[in-house]
Amino acid sequence: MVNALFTRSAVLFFLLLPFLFPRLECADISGVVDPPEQPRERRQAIRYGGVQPGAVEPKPEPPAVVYLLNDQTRNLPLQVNEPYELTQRGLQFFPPVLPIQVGSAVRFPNLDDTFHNVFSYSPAKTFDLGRYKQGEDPPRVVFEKPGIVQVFCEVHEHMRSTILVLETPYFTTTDTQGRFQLADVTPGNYTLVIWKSVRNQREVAIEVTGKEDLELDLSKGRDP
Amino acid sequence: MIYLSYKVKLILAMVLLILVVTASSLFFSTQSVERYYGEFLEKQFQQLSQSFVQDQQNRIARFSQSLAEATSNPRLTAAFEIGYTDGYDRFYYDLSTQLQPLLQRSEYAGSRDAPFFRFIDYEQQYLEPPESADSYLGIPAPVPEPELKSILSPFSTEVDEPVEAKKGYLRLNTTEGMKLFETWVFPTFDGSGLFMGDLVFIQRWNPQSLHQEGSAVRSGIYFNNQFFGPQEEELEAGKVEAFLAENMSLQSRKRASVDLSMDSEDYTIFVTRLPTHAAFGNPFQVTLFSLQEEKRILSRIQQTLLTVSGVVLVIGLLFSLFFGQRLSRRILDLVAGTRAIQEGDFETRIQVRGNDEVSRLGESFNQMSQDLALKEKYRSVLEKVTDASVANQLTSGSIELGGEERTVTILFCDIRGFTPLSRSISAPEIVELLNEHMTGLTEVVHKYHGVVDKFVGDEIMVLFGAPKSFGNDAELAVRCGMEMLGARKTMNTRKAKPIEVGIGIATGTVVAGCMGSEDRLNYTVIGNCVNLAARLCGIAPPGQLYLDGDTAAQVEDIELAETQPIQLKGFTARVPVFTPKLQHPTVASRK
Repeated sequence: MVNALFTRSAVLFFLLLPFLFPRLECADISGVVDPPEQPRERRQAIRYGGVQPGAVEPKPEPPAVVYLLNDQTRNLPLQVNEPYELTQRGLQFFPPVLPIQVGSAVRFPNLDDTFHNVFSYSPAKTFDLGRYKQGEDPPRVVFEKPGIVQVFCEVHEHMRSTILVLETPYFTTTDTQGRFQLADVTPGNYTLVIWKSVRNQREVAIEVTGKEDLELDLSKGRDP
Repeated sequence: MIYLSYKVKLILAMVLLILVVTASSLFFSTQSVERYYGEFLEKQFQQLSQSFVQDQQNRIARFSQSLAEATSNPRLTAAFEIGYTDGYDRFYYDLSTQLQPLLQRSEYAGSRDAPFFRFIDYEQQYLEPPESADSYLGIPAPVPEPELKSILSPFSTEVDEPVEAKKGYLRLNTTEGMKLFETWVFPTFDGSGLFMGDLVFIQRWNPQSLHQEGSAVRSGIYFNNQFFGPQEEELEAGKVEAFLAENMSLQSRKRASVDLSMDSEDYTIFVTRLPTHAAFGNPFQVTLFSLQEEKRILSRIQQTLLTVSGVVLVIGLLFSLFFGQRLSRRILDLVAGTRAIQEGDFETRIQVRGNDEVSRLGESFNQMSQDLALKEKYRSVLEKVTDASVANQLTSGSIELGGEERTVTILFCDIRGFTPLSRSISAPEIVELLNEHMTGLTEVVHKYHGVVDKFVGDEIMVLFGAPKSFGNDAELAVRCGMEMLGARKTMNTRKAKPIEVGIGIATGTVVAGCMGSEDRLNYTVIGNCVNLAARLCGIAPPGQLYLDGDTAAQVEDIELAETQPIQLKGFTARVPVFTPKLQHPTVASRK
């Protein structure tokens, strides 16, 4: 109870911080990147073993993840204490890609009528949650190591999602048009990473001055 | 010209015929056997290669199905997905675990020939198994990993290529030498149906896969100018390779014999391209059928044919000999018969055997010789009853019936004092005497070409110049008469009772011909001079010869003496009569 009160006070403090220190200038970064496309060479055979095709929701289009990295970002404190959620719904994972800051927790609620068994082989976080169903207390995993964690369901072989464990609080996902927005970025030099898949990521060096917001057009391979 | 008897010709023809029949039977039976055996082998080969191809396709289909189940495991997918960043150790391990049941099913599991696998991901990156993989991958690669990588990488599924299993063969230079490996490339999908890449299976090719149970057929694979067979050493792969290298360019299938001296057997080689993916090159299924069986069948047929021919030849020769002998004996009989007839033996007959053309010929011959004998009999009778030359002319048909006018000389000769003589001796003695007398004088007549017209009692009538003239018929008649007198005189020297004859000769024109009734004819002459000759004979003293003036006029070389003309009975005028001065002219004086 005391812990919860402390946490809420801390959140309130940070929320009010910009108003408490108006002199400390931060900048917003907005921009647009090419939305991730399905790699053409990965042809797909329609195959859902053991499930009714109608019971499966369409696979959500994975957005691109945009995040900023430099030497300071890994020392920044955890921005979100609430656990993230990676839900299983309609025999699919939502969201298809989930960026989080190192140290964050993720819960894996099952909203389907059937069992799921979420697991990961990724060295950044290996886990196997076992089989559980709707209504059971959703398992919770804390990700302490940065890296890419590919998440699968042992029961439904087509289900997959990716958790990006990042050493930065500056990250976001693009919308369907590839637009993104990063708010309140401390001035400095950053590497802006556009992550689309394990095999497709792009890094761009940017400088945030803090005097003005940045508007970046990184679509079609353009540099800032 | 070589003389070949009918028998020899028959035998030669028989032998020739049997040889021709045997040779053509051998030729055509060999042709047929070779053709049918070739078709039989062709069919067998087609079945063999079809069943081989079918078997391969079934295996691929079965394996693809099993593989789809094995690779849809989400843990395998997870292992694959992390491989790109974290290494493929786990993936290879999971893959080998998933494939374990499949690989265990292989008949070569656990052996040197056991299949092994590699993976090429969807970006056509060859996933080299980590070093630790040796512990669970089973058999080590037959060639170093970098070499394997460069060999296998080209077989991965291209972006624009249809996603389907590929089959082919590889030649790998192993530590044991060049070996043939079967290779399958299976496109693999992960749990969500995404193409993961190609799972490549490699297995040392086992020649037994082409072998049929209980079959003596040898099959192998010809690939990149190398032959991989069941008993490579035994089969002398080099010879097969040389043969194939020469003949491969052409059609996909061909029949030819190649001599493999190893076991000195002939083989028929069938070659067909194995249906493999183009990327793997062109492997050919090569099947060698031994022609031993064909040879065996052929030699059995040949033996049978030759035996039958031999037996037929012997039987044919015996028959030819038998019939030839029989026929030639019968023909020789006929030849002997004709010779006998030629020599005048008309009584000859040949033995007629059987009932065929030759026996009919024999019958005809006998009939002919019988007819000839009869004719000869008639002839000899005719010659006895008439003069031989008349008989001859009669039989040859040169005497015209009805008569002709001819100038002839007629000679009459009779015995003086025959009537008193006949009274003094017995009748048989008379006949004997007359026969001796007539025979002796007839010989003289014939000597001078005279024709005895008739005997009348003790009188002989002789014609000269009829039916045929021999030149100076009158002189011949006179000489004949003179010799007849001489002959009688000679005969008289041997007789107790001498006989004296008188001769009259006259010449004139007569009608000569066969005369008499329809049933019985006589060749004779009718004319005045006949009468004159008879009268002259009547008046001629014993041992004397009288001739008339016409005869005397024609005689040149004999000196004649003319007597007083004589009044003859039946003649109105006196008739001049001549007689030779020398009654007994020598034979030498005649021409």
